Amino acid sequence: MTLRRTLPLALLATLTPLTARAQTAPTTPPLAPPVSTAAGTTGLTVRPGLEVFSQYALRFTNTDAGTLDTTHTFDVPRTHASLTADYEHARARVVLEAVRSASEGSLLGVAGDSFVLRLREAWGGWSSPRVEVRAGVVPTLALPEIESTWGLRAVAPTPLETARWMSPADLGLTARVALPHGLGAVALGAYNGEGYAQREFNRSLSGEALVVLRPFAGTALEPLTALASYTLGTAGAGDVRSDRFTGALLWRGARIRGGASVTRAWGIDDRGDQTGWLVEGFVAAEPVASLLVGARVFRWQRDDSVDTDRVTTVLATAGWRVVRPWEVFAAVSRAIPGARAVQALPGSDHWELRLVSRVVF
Amino acid sequence: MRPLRRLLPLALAALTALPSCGADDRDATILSVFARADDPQWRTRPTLLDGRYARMAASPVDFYRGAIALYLRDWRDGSMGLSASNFAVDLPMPLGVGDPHVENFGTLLGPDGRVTLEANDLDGADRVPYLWDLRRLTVGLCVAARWSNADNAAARAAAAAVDRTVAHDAARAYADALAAPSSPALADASEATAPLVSDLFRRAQRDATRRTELDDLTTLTGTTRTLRRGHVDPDDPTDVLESLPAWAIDALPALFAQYRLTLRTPPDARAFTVLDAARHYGSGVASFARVRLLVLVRGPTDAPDDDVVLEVKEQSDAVSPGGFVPSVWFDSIGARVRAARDALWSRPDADPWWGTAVWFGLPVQIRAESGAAKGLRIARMTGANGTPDALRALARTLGARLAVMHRRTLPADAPQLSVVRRDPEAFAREQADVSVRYADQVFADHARFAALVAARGPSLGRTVSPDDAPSTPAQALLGRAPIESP
Repeated sequence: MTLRRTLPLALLATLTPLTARAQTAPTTPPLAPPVSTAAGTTGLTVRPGLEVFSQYALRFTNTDAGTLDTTHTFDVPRTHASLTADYEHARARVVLEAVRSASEGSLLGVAGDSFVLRLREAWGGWSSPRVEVRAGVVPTLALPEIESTWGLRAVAPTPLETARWMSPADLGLTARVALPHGLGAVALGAYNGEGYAQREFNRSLSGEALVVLRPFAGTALEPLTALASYTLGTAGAGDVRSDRFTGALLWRGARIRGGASVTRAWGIDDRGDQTGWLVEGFVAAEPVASLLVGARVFRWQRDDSVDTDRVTTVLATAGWRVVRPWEVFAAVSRAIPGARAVQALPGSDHWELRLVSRVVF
Repeated sequence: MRPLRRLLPLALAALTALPSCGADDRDATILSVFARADDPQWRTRPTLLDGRYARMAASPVDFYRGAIALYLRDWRDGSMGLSASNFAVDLPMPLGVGDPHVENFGTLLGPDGRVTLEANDLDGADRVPYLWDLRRLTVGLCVAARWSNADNAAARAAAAAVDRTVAHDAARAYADALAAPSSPALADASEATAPLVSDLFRRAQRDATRRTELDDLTTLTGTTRTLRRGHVDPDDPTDVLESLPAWAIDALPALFAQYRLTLRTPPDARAFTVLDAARHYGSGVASFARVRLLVLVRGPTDAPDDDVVLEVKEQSDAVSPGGFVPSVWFDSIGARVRAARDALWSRPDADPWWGTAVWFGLPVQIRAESGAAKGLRIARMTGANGTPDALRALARTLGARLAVMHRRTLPADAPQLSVVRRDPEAFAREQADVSVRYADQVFADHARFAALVAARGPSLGRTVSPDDAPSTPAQALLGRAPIESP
């Protein structure tokens, strides 16, 4: 009984002052609905980015009848939307990428075969001028080094990516340490090993080590860069060996970039004892302001044990930077498969002419 | 730098387990290929996939039927020699069967009551290199010869001893038919020179008039016919019919309205009045885990004796080595199946009920479940049907039929014709050599696969995440395999 009498009084006593304050100074903000994520609630600045490649491709495929089979295709080879943020040493980045929902050769996709968005990068990390650590869906180490030197990704990806011997991103973590005096960097990565576009099949992790050296840093030969990387990995549910060594000599000048690289692969296409190699040479230049030219040749030996199981590709391009964020290119390429490769990869003997637009913000 | 040099290999080795633990390279390849190829089924219907693997582990024949993803991998592997040829032509590609192994041929019943021998499984039909199709057949014939005469070891040995000849004969018949100026119009019983094919026609024609499918699959109560439930084939414990949810049955009229429009000569819409429907488990090998229904429809009249049983079967992308960009040749799965139906058969209406539709987002193929629709079965390669001569005659029949199919979609001046005309005998010898070699590989791979299933369990050691489980309605469609392992 005592409690039943005193409780209303206590509540009244507690609420009365509040009620009085509310009547005179109604400044208490209304109760906000809960948020399901803290993203966007910190008030810190986030930078958006955008990169879109669009192209028209005209492909002439050689047939054994001596004719050319012609294919016209409009495509959007890349649509990237990014958000990047940093605060003191903390960094984070998300990159969304548009891809066709069905893989090549398939008819079954999402809503027909619509473009869908997937994560290309999604990482958080710690960054200082000397050390950077990233975790999440992270760019791998060696491939972006070569790709950024080529600098004409809109025209063609690196052969390593074309051959599907390396993925440009994967789930895992990377750590990179800059060497003193601008002499280069060393980096380590640990990944799931299947690449960012595949779910995890193998049971073990893959590791990548990278050394980038600029032995002439601080001199006129500073753009000369040597690169070596080794990926010790597996792929597939059978944990098939998937090791890669890449060595490259690069020139990263402001007007001229170029280089040569060689990659040796142990374990290809779910066969652990298959070996192959890939060698490329490329040059990209801006001989006069806004004029962009480039050329690349690579030979992809799919299997060491069969001499004719190879594809040689030659590419040349010329482009123009219309305004700072917009470049257009014309490119011609020729793929020449060996006798065994063309049997295993029907249609790989072709010419291709392309008109490419790249817009980046 | 010295500590780094020491630490780096150690760090990498620690990150990476030794590859191929407990499995040699080919085992690892097999595991990886099936994991990738079957990942969607693994995630959504794992118990059905277990059933498929159990069936594949049971015999080299079923392994070959279910292992086309491995065939594709090996085709692309330059060192395997499966795609290597002195007669290679990559383009143009014929519209092929895609997976023309022996058991994918059978009889179909036309609208006029005539039975013809056709490719009776178009799941994998697509534009393919001509040697892809031919070698899929000739390797399959080698496997069949070695696995024939299950009841007679001496007869099996005799058949196995001629496997190379069987493959050769099929390839030679293919070459001759491909290069011939004209080809037979109809693959009817008059073409049945092989004892196994003659037997097939005889049984098909007998059961066509008896409508045996109605006796086997349905029960008649008064004037009302319904599909059976439970075990249908007493000899096959996996062959089961189960009831469908009412909401799934409610969607069937819309399905048949779509499907009817894909038929060459659509019957009256009332013919598709649904009388009963059931989920069918336990059929096929490669398609073991796919959705299959049997649907009993009214047929031409209300009388129960002309009811029709239709099979609704989920379709998927064909497994093929692809081609030039954009690498697809048809607008949809249904368009691919219908194009194959129209191009590959000796008569477009070889099965007048064969059409396509989409059901709850699943592309499906619909065909008549008829007693006259009988497939070639290696289990029947016994006695007079399993002698070396009988197998060689079968090989010639199927090789020639495949060539006729390819001719229909190749240009008149296709380089394949001139290539095989150059030296048909050398062509046949090459196909025989490749086929025997790859058949050896199939038997070795089957032994590995069976051992992997035994050692790692029915799912080959993979575990399914509960996060992948489909919704309850989707599970009701896809099935959860409440069936016994084969």
